[in-house]
Amino acid sequence: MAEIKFEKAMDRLEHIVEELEKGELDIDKSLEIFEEGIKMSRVCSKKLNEAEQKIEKLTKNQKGELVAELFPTDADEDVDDDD
Amino acid sequence: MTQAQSQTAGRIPAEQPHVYSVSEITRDVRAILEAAFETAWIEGEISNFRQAASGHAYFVLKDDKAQIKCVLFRGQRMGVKFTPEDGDQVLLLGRVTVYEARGDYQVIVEAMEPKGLGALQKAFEQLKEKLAKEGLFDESRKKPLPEVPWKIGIVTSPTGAAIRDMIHVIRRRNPKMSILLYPAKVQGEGSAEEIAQGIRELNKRKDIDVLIVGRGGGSIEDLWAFNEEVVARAIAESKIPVVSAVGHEIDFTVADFVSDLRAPTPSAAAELVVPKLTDIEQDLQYLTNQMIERMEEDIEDYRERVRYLVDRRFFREPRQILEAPTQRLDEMVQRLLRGLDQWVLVKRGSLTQIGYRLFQASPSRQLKTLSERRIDLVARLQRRMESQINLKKEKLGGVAKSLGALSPLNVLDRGYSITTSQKTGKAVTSNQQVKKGDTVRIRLAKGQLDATVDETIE
Repeated sequence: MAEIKFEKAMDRLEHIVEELEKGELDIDKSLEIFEEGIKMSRVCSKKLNEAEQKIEKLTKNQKGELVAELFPTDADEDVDDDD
Repeated sequence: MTQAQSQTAGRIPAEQPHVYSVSEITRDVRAILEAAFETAWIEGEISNFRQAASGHAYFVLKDDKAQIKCVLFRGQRMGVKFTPEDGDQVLLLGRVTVYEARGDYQVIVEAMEPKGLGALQKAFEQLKEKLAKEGLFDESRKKPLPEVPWKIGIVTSPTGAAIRDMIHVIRRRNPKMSILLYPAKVQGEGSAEEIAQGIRELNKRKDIDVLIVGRGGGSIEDLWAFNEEVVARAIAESKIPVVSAVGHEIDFTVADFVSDLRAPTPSAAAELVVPKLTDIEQDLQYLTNQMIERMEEDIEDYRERVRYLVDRRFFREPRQILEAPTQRLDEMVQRLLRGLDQWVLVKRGSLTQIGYRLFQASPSRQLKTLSERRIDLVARLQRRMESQINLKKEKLGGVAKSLGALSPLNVLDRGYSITTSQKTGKAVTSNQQVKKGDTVRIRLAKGQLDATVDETIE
């Protein structure tokens, strides 16, 4: 299964909350979307937890292809200084 | 003076005069003109402007008294930041020369800018108008920014203040946001092409959610790349939403108009594009809690309903089913008891009758003696039974007494008598029951009489 986009998952979660709030669904359907909502919530937190900042810049390699390489920033130096 | 004068004056040349060919004289005129006006600033109004397929442009520069042909070659055309139009007042720098093939003298334009309005300003207005006509600034074209981007593509100089400011802001708002920088020259020769290329390159990737294209503040010339058509086109073609972030708040570029969102500065662009991580986390937490609460409420509702149903359908009704026979049983017991009571009453009734007959059959004295004997007997046998037996006796006595009170014999005491037919032995209550000559027995309070019916009287 393709990875669910964070935003899509959030939207879905929001939609599920709305559906549950309307209270028009039967218990089976409610439980079904609730389960889906929990899944979406997990996907989102997982994504949030796993996300790590990468600051890169594109540079041409010897073959002339663009490759991403780390872009050093002041903040990196600050961190070093702080340490 | 001169050769020409002497030639004309004399009509017939004294000596062989110099005869120019057209080419020669034209070349000489050209050489003289070019030497005299190596470069010159000329001011005038453009008319008859025409752009040839070759890329060269031709026009006439005029004022109210004269006019001069001008050529704007393709190479120089590129350096002119606006599209000249008839009626434009311009200041141009050019070389005066002769177009030998026609013998026209003309000005080769090296540089040109509109008078009054700055050249760049005019160019800006013109490109803006052109792209607006194409609909590139239409609101309907604007793509919404992603609410939660994960990776931002930035096209700017890797060494400028803009990238540092943006990284700073992005770090502060969301320390998990990734950035991919396309380093591009942002001013000077070739900068517009590099910026456009950056936008296209980042569009080839799948991991970029939003683009920021921009640079820090500078003069209008410094920012010029962002007013170039090639940049505007690249932004317009971008599949990824583009935020323009050029210069300061007061600087507007064509890139700003064509982008999906204009940020007043690069830092502001970072603010606009990057939501706070804490906000996202809060949103997620809120939604998740909301959902769980809803579901719990739902389940509690259902639990309540199930409880209710279980109460009614699965437990209460069978209980009712059980209750019905119980009720029937109760009813039957009731009826049985009532029947029993009835039976007792009936029995009591017969007891009364028996009592009555007993009373009739045996004199009270005998009864008394019997009772006394029984009392004695019972008293001797078991003292504990005495009261009970007494009670029974009293009851029986009571009954007998009350029966005695109703006894017709008591009526006899008051002078009434009972007549019974000797023939039938039944009490005579009507004269129809007897005939003349029948014998009857008349019972009095004390003793009885036998008598003969003399007559039946109506």
